[in-house]
This record gives sequence, C-alpha cells and structure tokens, in this order.
Amino acid sequence: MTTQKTVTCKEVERLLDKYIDGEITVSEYQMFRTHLRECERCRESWMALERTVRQLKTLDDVKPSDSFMPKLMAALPASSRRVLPRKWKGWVLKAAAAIIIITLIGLGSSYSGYTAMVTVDSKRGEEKTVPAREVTVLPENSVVEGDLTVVNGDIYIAGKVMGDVLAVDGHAEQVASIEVKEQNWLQRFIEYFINIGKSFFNGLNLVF
Amino acid sequence: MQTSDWELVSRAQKGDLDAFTLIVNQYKVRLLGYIFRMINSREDAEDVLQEVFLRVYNSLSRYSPQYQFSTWIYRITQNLCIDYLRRRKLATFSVDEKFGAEEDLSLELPDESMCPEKIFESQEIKRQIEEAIYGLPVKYRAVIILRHVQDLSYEEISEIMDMPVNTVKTHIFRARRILRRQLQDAI
Repeated sequence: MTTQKTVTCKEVERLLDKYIDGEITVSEYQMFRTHLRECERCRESWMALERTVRQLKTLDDVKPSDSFMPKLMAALPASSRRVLPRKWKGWVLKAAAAIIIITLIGLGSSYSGYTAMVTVDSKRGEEKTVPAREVTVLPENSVVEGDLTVVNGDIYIAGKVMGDVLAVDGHAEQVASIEVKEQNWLQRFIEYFINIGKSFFNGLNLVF
Repeated sequence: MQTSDWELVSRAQKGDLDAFTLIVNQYKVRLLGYIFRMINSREDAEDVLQEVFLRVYNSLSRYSPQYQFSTWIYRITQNLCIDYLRRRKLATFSVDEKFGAEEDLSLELPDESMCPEKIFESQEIKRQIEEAIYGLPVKYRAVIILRHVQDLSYEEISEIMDMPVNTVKTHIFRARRILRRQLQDAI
C-alpha cells in the first residue's frame, strides 16, 4: 500500500486549521507531516500560525474595578430593593416611633458608622427587636454623597443619602430619628458588632 | 458552562438576589475580557458589562433553557457590543482609525531567560496582540476572541453569533491568517 499521497502547499494551508483544531485525520496528518518535513516555507507558516494561536490564549484577564458590583447593584430595578419585606408590612411605622438603640463603635474610618440593636414600636404597641448583627444605622447628622449599598443586612436611615440606597437581602428604611443609648447598655452585644464593623468600608459602600 | 448555572438561574428567576450575584461573579471577568477586546475602551467596557447584567436581570423570566445559559449571556453581550460600536461610529469616531498595526511590529524574538527585558517584551507582545485583535474587522474579531481567548467551541460560537458553523470557521481561519501576518515579526 504505497499510496502515500502528497499534498500541495495550498492544501497544507487548509490542513493547518484542522491541525490546530484537533480535527485532522490520521492520513491527513501523515501527508501534512511529510510535506512539512520537505517544505520550509510551509513549516514556517505552520509554526507562525501555531505561535499566534498559542499567544492568544496567554492574554491577561480583564478584571472589573472595585466599584463595579456596587454600581451594578444600585442600578438594579427598584423592585428588587425590597424596601419593606412582607412580614414587616402593616406594623412598621411611617413617622411613628422608631426607637433605635445604637452604639458607636470604633471603625477606624473617616466615617462614623453605627451598628444597632433595634427596637421598633408601632402604633399598636407591638414591638420587635432585631438582632444587632443584621442592622446598620445611618445617624441623623450624617450625609452619604454617593450611593449606599448594604449587603446581607438591614439599614435604618435617619441621615441623608444623596444617591440610591440599596439593601441586598435586607431592607432599607427611612426613620425619623435614632436614639443613642449609653454604650455600656450594649456591651454585651459587642461580639455581634465586631462582625458588622468590617462591613463599613470607605464610609459609603459596605463590603460584600 | 458551569454545572451550577441552571440551579443559579432558576433561583435568580425566583428573585433570589444572591443567586444573581453569583451569576455576575461567575461571568464578569470573562465577559469583560470579551467586551474590552471588542470595543477597546476599559471604561466603556464596564458600562457595557453593567448593561449586560441589567439586561440579564430584566430578562431572566424570559430565559428558557433552549440555549445554554452561557450562550444566552454571550449573545446578549455580543449584541450590546455591536450596539455600542454602532453608536460610537455614529458619533463620528472611526473604530478603525486607531491602529496602523503593521508599522510598529518590529520586535526581536525574545530569548528564553526570564530577565526584565523578557518580561517587558512579553508585556509588549501582549499589547501588540491586543492591538492586532482590535485591528480585525468586527466579524472576525468577535469569533477569534470567543474561540482562542475565551476557548469556546465552534458550535457554541455558532449559536452566539447566530451563524452556521462553517461560516464561523471561515471567519476564524481568516482571522488567524490576518493575525499571523500582523504578528509574525513580534512573536
């Protein structure tokens, strides 16, 4: 069986792609190899194509900037922001009494962050206490110039937010005022606060 | 592409924002690489990427597993890249005017040692490859990125681009030749 066919340079050029894609058949490969052994031009052409394709795979990843996720989350439609979860509807007040007992913890940030043990009183006298670790408070005298994003927790806002407020997996609520109770009252919750302290970042965006 | 895609998508379809966030995290680097190489603007690429995810978010309810999720999200990405390029062209900025890639491809072959020059050269080579990719006509650029930078199959590219596999192949073969010519002195 000495029907070893030969191929022209033009055919080899076509086989190069099949070779690169791993689609070349055994008999094609034999012809291809024989040709390359003898034809320097095709050999160089093959090597250059191989190199080109290999180099394409070495290009660096392009990573989004840090602001990408908060911006995206803030741009989601308002319906996804879960301003008031169903279970709270009906008894959470509008301008009614929201007594939020908070403590200020040292966050090492230029922005004063608060975490809170929250007690909410409705007009009907119901009361709910929210575990401190789920809660963040923006006090009355603070202003956030950009967007405020809280992930995995609730936020109570008595201050001012110029941009959008987004609570991912939590809810955001505007309250009339926040009452600060003495620190010692809350010291027993300190372990909760240490966890949430990490959540304040740049004074504006809370880390995921 | 990921086995968990389908699970994440169905959770996200029910309004689970965590699942949506995971989808974003799974795709953002890949898609940004694609968009950036298509439009050659880092800043605008993030805007387009945001648009992609917003569109995904808003269309989740209409997604059906007729396509793989990755195919679907790449289709959205591809369409938004084309929209962007069209808009930019209308704004009288020529997409093609930036590169005369042929003139500045004159690097020596790097030697094998990992010296600073080598590192510099490898960065330089990457830069030239990026330029050469961006210098391709859009239809070639899209498929070559999907095939060799993103490592997708011909079949998936064919679905993303909505063109027959043979056309995809023809475009890729053509793109390889152009890149080889552009880069032969550089790599």
